[in-house]
Amino acid sequence: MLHTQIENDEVVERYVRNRLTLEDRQAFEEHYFACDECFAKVQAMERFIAGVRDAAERGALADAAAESSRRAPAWALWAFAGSSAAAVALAAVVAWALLVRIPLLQRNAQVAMAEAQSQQQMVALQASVAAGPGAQANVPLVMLQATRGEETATAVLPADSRQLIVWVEIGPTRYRNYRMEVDAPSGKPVIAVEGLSRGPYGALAASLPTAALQAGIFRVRLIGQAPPPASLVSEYRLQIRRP
Amino acid sequence: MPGTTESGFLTGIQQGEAESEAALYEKYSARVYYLALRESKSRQDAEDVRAETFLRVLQAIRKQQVRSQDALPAFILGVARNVLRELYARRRQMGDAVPAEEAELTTPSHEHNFIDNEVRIAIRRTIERLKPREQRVLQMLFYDELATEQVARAVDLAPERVRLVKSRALKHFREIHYRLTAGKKGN
Repeated sequence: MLHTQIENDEVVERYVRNRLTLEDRQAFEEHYFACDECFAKVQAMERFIAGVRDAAERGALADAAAESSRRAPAWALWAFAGSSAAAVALAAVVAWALLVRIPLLQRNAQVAMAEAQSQQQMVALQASVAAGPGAQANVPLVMLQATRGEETATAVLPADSRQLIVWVEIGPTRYRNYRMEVDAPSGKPVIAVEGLSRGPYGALAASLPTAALQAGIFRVRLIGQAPPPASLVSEYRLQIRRP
Repeated sequence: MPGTTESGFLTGIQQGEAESEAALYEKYSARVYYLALRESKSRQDAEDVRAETFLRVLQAIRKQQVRSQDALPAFILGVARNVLRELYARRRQMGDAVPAEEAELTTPSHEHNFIDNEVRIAIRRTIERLKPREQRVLQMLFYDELATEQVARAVDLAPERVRLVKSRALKHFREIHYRLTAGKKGN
């Protein structure tokens, strides 16, 4: 492996973040065993990434992220300069609010109430899991919703947690039974749960072993199994964080 | 000092020079330990793998089983991988197996082993030099695990600019960390 390739392909960073193929990983290991410069870069990258993650977990970067999101982008400043035009549009906005927005907010409020009920049901599920043999308090739980598009659900797994409860809200489908497949950030399948069916609240619930869930972004796929033919029903992004 | 090059390691160790053994260990022990820590996620296992690896490497050199000087780094790496495989095989027999290739998926991250006071200080000083948007870039890249292109879209920067932010931050971090640790060694 050549230094130019290592530099151009960001091999050091990808190696540290486990994003190289097995062949490239082994080739790079053979390289840095003979190369002091690259081994020093690997060590520095390990410290740097670990330090950034540590800072983010301690909130040292959170303010910056929030501040950044609060800052108006450059184009917004130009838009502001044309704010006189906004006055003209104000009347239209008021009409839109009365005819469209307020009914939408009412519907959202109904959805929020339904979600609150769902949350109560999930809490009950957590409690029932925690009360079983080998009971564990504060079982982590994450809710996956297909209606939220590409949004990533996040689960924070304390060091002593053994199970992660996954609650999946799905709309109407033709299936009675489902299979859940979980892929690691590397794309490798790590967990499969068979025989899922809707509970009394219409949702699916499964508990996953946290030993297989390292920090990173996982893919969760829900596949309708019965009646056949099987097909993909929905897919979710699940971010695992470990404090 | 004898044995500071691959050829010196081989001849010096074969002639029974303790300095050559020490020099070989000094040059490669951090690599073996890092590889083992990365695979096993355990400091104790990494120590064991390092010790066993060097035991076998030294025995092989003494018996003149390592003939090519250029192949010494790859030979040490190969021995370390074998020791790791044997570790996992023993665990499999004991019923708590984690195959080497799956270890990264099923055991806690090893990165906490890289966090110490100097790293925290260096990161803090690096962050202080960054604009809020640049800090956000780091968070999205390394904490939210987004790809460079996703980050670029999210913060309205060109992907090249995102890479530049990352490489500059890393450069600052390395410089600060180096000063901190060099000062510590000097004390």
